[in-house]
Amino acid sequence: MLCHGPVRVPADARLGKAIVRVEMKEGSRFQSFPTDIPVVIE
Amino acid sequence: MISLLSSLLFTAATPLPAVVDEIEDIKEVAAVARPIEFSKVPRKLGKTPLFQSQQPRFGIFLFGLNGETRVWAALDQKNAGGKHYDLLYLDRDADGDLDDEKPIVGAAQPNSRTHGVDFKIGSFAVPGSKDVHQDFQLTAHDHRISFKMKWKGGKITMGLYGPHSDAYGTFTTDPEDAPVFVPGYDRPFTFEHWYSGTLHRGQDTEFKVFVGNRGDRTGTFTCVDDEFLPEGEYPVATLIYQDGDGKERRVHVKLTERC
Repeated sequence: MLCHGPVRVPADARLGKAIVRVEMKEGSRFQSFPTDIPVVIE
Repeated sequence: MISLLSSLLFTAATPLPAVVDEIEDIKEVAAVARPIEFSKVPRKLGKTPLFQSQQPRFGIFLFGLNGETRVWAALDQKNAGGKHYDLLYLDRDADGDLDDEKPIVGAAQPNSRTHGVDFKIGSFAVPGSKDVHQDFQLTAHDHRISFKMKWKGGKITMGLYGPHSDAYGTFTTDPEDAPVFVPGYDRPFTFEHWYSGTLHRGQDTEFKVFVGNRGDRTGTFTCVDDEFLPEGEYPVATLIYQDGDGKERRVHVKLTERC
């Protein structure tokens, strides 16, 4: 399954490595381990 | 959680055992599930049958809330040098040996849609537990492995996935380097992105994630399907980046869309 949504990178962001941390929404009945996903800003 | 449980107990003339059991299960998950240390998973394979293939391939499934039950799988061939793997050994009793397992014979012809060889395992009772998973099927493609099963007879868990289709995982020829998979949805979820590793400054990027369990390496992710999460349940992504002054900034996005 894929969950998705638009991530807008602000115009003042430095180029290069960044992190997207993904976890279930606050108050979800589903537990999650916050997962850090390395990304690159171009 | 307590208020929801109380509400269910006091508003229903007859308690809803299935719902209450599920809530109790979730409380249990919060209490004892912890991240799996894959480096500590033993990779020592026990006794094996006399493999016919020159290159049998191996993988490990972990079952149990903290992956305490280790189940080896090995792909072999009826005849050495065949085009496809057509025998599967599964360590159904989780004793680490494969020589006491009857091989599962793959479909006579590759699947017309996926071009992989399907192995229908069927029901799988996890040793040492009451869990029985249904319709367990593994497919050996040319360059990857996939599987699916109905977790405890319920919803589907499936793999193997990675951040792009070329990264979907496969078994290895060296048991001591066997990849490790964690099927199911009893544990707290983790996430893997899909074709979303590059973001563009000043623009929107549709950030897509699988929801499920990470395995021991890229390409070993198992996930639930697109009907698993009920409406109103979704992951949140937080972009953590530096601005032009080097100061850490964060952007939060609700990943509410499905596909």
